[in-house]
Formats: sequence, structure tokens, C-alpha cells
Amino acid sequence: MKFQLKRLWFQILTFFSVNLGAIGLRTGFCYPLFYCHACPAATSACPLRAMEKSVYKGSSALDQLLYPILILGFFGTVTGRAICGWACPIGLLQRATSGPARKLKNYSIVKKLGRYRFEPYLRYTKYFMLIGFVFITAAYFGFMFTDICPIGVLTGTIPIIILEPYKFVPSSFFWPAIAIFILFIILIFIIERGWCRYFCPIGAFLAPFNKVSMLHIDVDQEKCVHCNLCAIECPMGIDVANMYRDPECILCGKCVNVCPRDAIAYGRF
Amino acid sequence: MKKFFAVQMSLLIIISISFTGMLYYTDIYEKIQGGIVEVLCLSCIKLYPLTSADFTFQTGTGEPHPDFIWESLKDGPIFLHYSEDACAACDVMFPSVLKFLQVEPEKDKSYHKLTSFKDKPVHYYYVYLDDEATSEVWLNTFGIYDKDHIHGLPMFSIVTINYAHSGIIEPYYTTLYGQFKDNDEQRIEFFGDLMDEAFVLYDENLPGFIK
Repeated sequence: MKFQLKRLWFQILTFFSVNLGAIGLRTGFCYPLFYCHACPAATSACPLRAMEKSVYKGSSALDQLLYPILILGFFGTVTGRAICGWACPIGLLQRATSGPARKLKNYSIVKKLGRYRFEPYLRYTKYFMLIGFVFITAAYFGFMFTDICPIGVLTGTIPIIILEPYKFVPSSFFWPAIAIFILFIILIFIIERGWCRYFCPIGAFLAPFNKVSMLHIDVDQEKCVHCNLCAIECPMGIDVANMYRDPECILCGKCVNVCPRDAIAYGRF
Repeated sequence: MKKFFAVQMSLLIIISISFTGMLYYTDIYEKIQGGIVEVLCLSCIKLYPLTSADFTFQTGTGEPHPDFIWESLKDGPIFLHYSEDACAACDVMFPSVLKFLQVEPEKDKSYHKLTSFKDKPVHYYYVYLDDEATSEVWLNTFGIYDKDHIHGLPMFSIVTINYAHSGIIEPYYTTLYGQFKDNDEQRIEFFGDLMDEAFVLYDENLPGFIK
């Protein structure tokens, strides 16, 4: 558990780092995680915004496309999706809301639903979000993802309304975005890491890097007795015992901690 | 195993070199900083600024009005129009301004024209923040005329003159932000009312200003 406490401290530290704009630090980098640059305290840019801008209405600003890709690619190559588990503030939020979602797992209706094998297919939604909402709609119709992004509501809209209550009025996208934000909140309370599993476009971008990342989770099949404690503990709902460099793994290390036979460990290279 | 390690290292080296090269040889860092991080993305927050159209003497940054503003005010009020690359609200407002002042700037090029409103001269300045040819002096006015410290786009400022408490006649301006009103006609009417107000002040104070 000490290890998970370290992870929590790292997440909290990252949360403060991404908000150094509060003391005036505003850089020209893109975050390698999900956070909105419209947050009054943001330090860097949302990589999705840079990607959207690069293809906006048919334009092709290759530098703005390549820049966030290289930043995400660097972290992806070194750590895979560990960014999601260790650094992303939205991951920290979902860590906080995971309690009710875990309790829900014990209800018979949820168990029944779990028997249907459609859940893995739902995970492809995030790839559609990345390609469809970030690239295709931006290229052909204009910004769509940023107009309805629930993370923008959480980290941009709400803080701005609180800090400057009489300075702004809702735009035409405000209420649809609020509706999506409410759905987002419901989702993260009923499904552990629901946003990371199904919808996060940054997660979709980083997921393939798990296949080549230097840091990964290794399962020693000779030691493993398939007790499934790791799968029960996994916040991403992965069948850990049978996985090899799973794109869904966020390297949180919960399976490493829970394994009674030390069959699971972090692997390097 | 060694082969896989070689793949990982190659990938990392390619990414690192490309990234360092981009930072060193291109202006991408400044583009992201100035175009995304430091400008309030109104579409990201799904809000529009609720600002008054009241005129003021106090500039957004406290800096004095630039020389070209003083110079232009000798001919008539000024309409400053700020826009940037990939800005949905800028695209919506752009045609309204074109119709209002009968000007034809290219969307991605800064532009100046001495045009007219109701047969009276108006200086129109179109400041496109992502146009590398835009002068520093013009770019600085984005902060100077950011009346309500919104730092969002599009932004429109109307500068006229008025008698200040200091006893001299000084530039007097108002600024509007984002997308407002429902259609071109309503926007033109709104801009027209402000311009009328600007001309009343201008005509009243012109004799003292020229002196």
C-alpha cells in the first residue's frame, strides 16, 4: 500500500505542476495528459487543441500537429500509459470516485451485464473520439471536441465561473457541454476509470505505445496461479494474468501490490 | 530482446531529436504559448465575456496609447479588429465587420484602410495575431485595448477622443469580445450605435484635440 501512497503523492504533485500558471508560469509546451489550457491556472496547452488547430477547416499546420504528437510520443515510448495512472489530474479525480464504482460491481445486475462480452468493444470508442471528434470534425466542420469537452467544463468553465462570476455569459455550447459533463460525472461514479476506459482521446493516443514502451507490467506465468486477485483489483478491468503489454494498462501497480505470489512486476525495456 | 530494445531506443532517439529540432528551428513554442496558452479559449470554456460597451481612458495594460493611434485619430475614430488562426467565433464575426465598414481584408493578413462610416472617415485596423508580418506595435495593442483583461478572441475596439480629467483630450475607447448578437444585421446595428457615439464624442472634442 505504501507504493500506492507514493503514486497518490505523485498525482498530487503533478496536479500542482500543471497548475503553475497560478503563479504566472505559462509555457509553450503541450501537456502529455488531459488538462485544459483554459483553466485560469494552466501551465501548458491541451495537446488535443493543438491537434485540432493543425487541421482546422482543412488547414494543414504540420508543426502544430507534430509538436503534441512528439511530446505524447516521448512519454508514451518511455512510460506507456503510466501517464494516465500516475500523472493525469483526471486520473486522480477518477481515483477519488472509484469507491462507489467498486461497490456497484457487487450488484447482481452489474455482474449479469459483465457476463456479456461487449465491454471490450466499447473501449474502441476512445479511438473514434480521437479520430472523429478531434481530427475529422475539426477538419471539415470546425471545433467540436473542445466545444463540448467535459474536462474543459471541469477545469476551465467551472473555475472561471467561480473566480469571475459576473464576467461571462453562457455560449450556445454551454448547456450541451454541461449535460455531457453531468454524464461524465455519473460515468466516473458508476464505472471505475470509465473516462479512461471508453472516452479519453489522450488515452487512445497513448494506448498503442504500451506495446513498445520501456516501462511495462510483466506477469510471470510460471508463478501465476490464476487466482484473479489482480483482475479484481485492476481499475481498468484488465484480465491481468493473461495480459501482455495490454494497451489498456495504466501501470498503476495495483496488481503488483495485490499479487500473493509476486508473479507480477514492473518490467523495464 | 536486443532487437526490441533497439526499436525502443531508435524510437526514443528519433522523437527526441525531432522534438529538440522543432524547438530550436521553428517558432512552435511561441506559437503554442501565444496562440493557445496565453489566449483565453472562449470555445473551450463555453462562455462569452459579459462586458459593457462603456468607453474608458484606462488602457488594459496601463501603457500609453501607441503613436499610430494618436496619428490616426487626427483623421477620425478608429476601429481595431483582432483575430487569429483557427478561431470559430472570429470566422463568424469576420463578415459582419466587412459589411459594416465596407473593407476587404484577407482573413490571414493584417490590414489597414482609411474607410468611412456614414461618409465620415474611420481608420480600420485588422490585426491578425498569427500573421508573422504584423508589426510588434500593432500586436502590442491587443493587450493595450484589452479593456476587461479577457485576452480572448475575436476582439473589437473602437477608439475616439474625449476630454479627460487631466484637462487634455485623450484617446477614449471601448472593447467588445467574442461572438455576439445573432446575425450580421444585428451586429452591424450594434457596431453602428457605438460608432455613432464615437463620432459624437469625436466631433465635440476635435477642435481641442488638434490644438
